[in-house]
Amino acid sequence: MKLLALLTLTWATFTVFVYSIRARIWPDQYDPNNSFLPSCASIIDSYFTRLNVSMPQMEAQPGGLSNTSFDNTSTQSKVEKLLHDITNLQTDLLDHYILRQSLMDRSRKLHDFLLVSSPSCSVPEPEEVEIVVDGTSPLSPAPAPSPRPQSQPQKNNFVTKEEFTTSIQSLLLPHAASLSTESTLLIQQTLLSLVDDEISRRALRPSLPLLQQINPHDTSCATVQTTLAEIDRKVHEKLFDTMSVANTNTTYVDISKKSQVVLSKTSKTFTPKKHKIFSSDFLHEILQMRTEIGPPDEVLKPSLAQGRCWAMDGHDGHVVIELPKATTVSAISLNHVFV
Amino acid sequence: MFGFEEDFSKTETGVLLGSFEYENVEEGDDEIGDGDEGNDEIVGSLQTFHLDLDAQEKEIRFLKLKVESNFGNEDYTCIYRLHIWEDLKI
Repeated sequence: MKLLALLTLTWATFTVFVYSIRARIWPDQYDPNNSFLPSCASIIDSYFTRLNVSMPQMEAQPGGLSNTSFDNTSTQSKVEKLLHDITNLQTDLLDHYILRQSLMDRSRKLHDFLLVSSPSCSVPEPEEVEIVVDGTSPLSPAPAPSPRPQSQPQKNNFVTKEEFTTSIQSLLLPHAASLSTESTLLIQQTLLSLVDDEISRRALRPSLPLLQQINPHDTSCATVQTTLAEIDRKVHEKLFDTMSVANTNTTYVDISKKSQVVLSKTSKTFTPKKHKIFSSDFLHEILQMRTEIGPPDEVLKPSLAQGRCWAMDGHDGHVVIELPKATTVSAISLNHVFV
Repeated sequence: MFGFEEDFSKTETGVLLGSFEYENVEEGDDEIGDGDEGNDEIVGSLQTFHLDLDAQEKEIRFLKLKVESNFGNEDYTCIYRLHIWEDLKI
């Protein structure tokens, strides 16, 4: 009887558990056209079915558990195995779900912010735009073979990390001859962060001109190809530390990596005062300045991670930089951590 | 932003190459750039400021970035990244 109670309790916990998974996997905006989620549903339902079949068998023999041929050990291990399976399933599903969602989000935002241009331009279907991210690339110039054969029906609509990486590789293939493996990896990360940056940039400032419309004389519509070309250009800029100036044919080269900070001429670095515990300053420090305060050299280093900066003491001060050679400096850029 | 010729160690005041304001993008301001510096490209967190080329009669060897205020933060000013752009053609 105790065992039955235990099993019932397990079953109840298990049900709650499974329902909680369902609740996590189905947020409010359940999209029946999204073939990924129904496939998750069928997997979970199959687990339900297996459980529903095995559990009533136990309940059909009330009080008879101790002296029947019912194999308690095997049932228990069965339940344990199912529990184990469903934990794994939960992890897998959530991984896929999060990746899928982030890709979907990216593609939607790309669609909204990058590709919807003037009203006269035809708006690409979201599925087409997704190609930028998903990499099935029927619309791109496709010098590379498509990572997935086009004829194959897409049963699983979700994108694995591998597929995503492959798709980026295919984007980079035209450059493959001139790039090392490390550079290719770097570009992959760069590309991802560029897409993210571009999205956040445009999310903050919807009034920004479209990438293709930076040149006001070019009124052509943004297409997947031009967007890819634009991303391509940005990757190139990132790799070779160059920047094209809007509306001109001028290209700038970044000489900051070859420059040095003149420490003796630079103002003091911030040293945090000893704050009282639980004061707001202390908390602020924990949250914002957790990492050690960087030396002035950080100003010329590429990392934009939180805390990878030079904290100058006070609100006025200066940093002096020695250039690699005497030259004319056309412009400077300042960058800040993107919050 | 000040530029200095060959020898910074001499008491040289430097040439003013431009002054500008880094826009606080966290506030979600919709304006692009500010009116005075029409030339500048303010794109999210990466903000480019064009320097006065005419002021650079001689080539400069040292740059001095002088910060005057930091949006009211009196304790410290965090500078994450400074790019220095040289025209490829010059």
